[in-house]
Amino acid sequence: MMRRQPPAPALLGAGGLVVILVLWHLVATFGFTRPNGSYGAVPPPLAALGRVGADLVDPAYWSGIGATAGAALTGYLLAVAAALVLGVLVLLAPPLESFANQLGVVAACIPIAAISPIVVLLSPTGSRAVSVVLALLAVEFPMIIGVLLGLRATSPAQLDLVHAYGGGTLTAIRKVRLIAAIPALLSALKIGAPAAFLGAMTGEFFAVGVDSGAGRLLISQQYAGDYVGMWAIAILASAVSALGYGAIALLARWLAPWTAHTAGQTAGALR
Amino acid sequence: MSAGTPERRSAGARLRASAPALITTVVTLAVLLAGWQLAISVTNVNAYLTKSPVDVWNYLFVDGTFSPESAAERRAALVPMIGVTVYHAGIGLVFGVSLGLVGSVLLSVSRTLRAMFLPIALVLQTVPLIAMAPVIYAVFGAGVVTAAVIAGVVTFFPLLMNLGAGLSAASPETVDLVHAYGGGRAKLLVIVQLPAALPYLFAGLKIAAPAVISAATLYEFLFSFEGLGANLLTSRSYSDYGLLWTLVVVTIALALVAYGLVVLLERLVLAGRYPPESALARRGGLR
Repeated sequence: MMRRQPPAPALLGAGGLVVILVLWHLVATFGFTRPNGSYGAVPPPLAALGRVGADLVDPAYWSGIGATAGAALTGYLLAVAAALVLGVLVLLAPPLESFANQLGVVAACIPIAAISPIVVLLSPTGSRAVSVVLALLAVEFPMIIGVLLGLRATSPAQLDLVHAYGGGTLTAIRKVRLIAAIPALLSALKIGAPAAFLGAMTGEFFAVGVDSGAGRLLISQQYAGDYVGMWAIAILASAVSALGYGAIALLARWLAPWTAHTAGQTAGALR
Repeated sequence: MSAGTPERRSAGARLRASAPALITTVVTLAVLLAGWQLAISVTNVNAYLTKSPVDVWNYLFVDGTFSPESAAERRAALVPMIGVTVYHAGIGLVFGVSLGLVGSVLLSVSRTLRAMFLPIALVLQTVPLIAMAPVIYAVFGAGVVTAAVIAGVVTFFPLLMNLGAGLSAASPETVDLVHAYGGGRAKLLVIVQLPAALPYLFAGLKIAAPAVISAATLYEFLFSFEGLGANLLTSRSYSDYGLLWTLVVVTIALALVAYGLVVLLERLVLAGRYPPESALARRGGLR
């Protein structure tokens, strides 16, 4: 039923946003504002947004978020490379598919607090290795599933056609399988972008000797009791994640415009 | 995962059919353990800091290899830590699943609510919510409520999205049948939509169950003094590396067991009742 609805009117969507902002404002004003007028753990949305504006002109925030994004990008690229290598192995030896799937499940299951102390222990002080590893683990499962879905996207009829015209396995891979795999791959790449930032930011809660980054800013503001600052960082981090998703979506539309319609369905299967 | 077949089969037959998946899991874990052992043997890492699978085995089962002397005593010390983490994770799971169920039913029943809040939910699920743990802590303070909210946050969105897809998965013919017999909205929900959503519930739980273990241990590590998470931190501070590596293995094992239990429950509950998973995976989500 939901699938056959007309697209949600933008007006109602905006209404939902207004309802949430008003509720947030009421909770902040009546639940978390001290008698002297200073804000508690939940500042009103306008105060938090105002602080976001102030943060945006502060170069320290740019370099902090940039550092986190850099670690996220490293982990993201490593995860993509690993998933592609697994994809090639599955292409060469199809029985490996369930093994690749299980590796993805294990990567998704590993608790953050379990892997982080080990990475911190084994990496030098001041290293962002833990952010990179957490970003990698966060991206790996959707990437592996995306690669496997992509490999399965070719119909037998398409392969028969290539073989009927005298094409070999390599021609089939080049002309059909890679093209067919692109929509699932792009969906996984999109989902992976915010996940990588999440991993990198969480990693900074564990890193030793790292004093910059979005996660570090959040922790230092927590120690200082700067609640407005914490909410501003939360909003900024969400915006960066959304930008990462949007950037990949734009790139996908530019590189493979025919995937714009199918991407949503594959993303549903990925979750 | 092995795909089931559409015809009715007993739960036992269904479980036996999943034996290949179990073998793959065992092989995967063995490969990972061997890789860990190999990495330690081949590279020249510090043996004081780095423990191998054999060391963890010794910590758990061999007397006199670590302190305290008795392995049984070391194992006994782990039990309360696991208990606390399971408690935190369980509360969070129940909290997140309940909210996800209520949310998805509301979004499914009301077209207006769906138009108002689905876009926001779609945006929010990409937000790095677990990285906002310090904000949640600032709001709810130390205690089980914060643990439940942090673990609930990682459960809510997978459940909302999957159940939302499931509630809309009933075939139009079934829906028409209920209407033809005079059934109303509530009847449709209870006898058609909720049962049709069961496979989607398990799809959501497969993501949520290991995630609540991760969220609970993250909460314990950052904000509390009990549970596996907190002891991961203190064992490192006390340079008790045997305990640290054992806790890492126990925590990862707990998350894998949580996932495995959902898979097992799914196979028992859905045995012979639903089309194979592969047919479901092709359908679109709540969008």
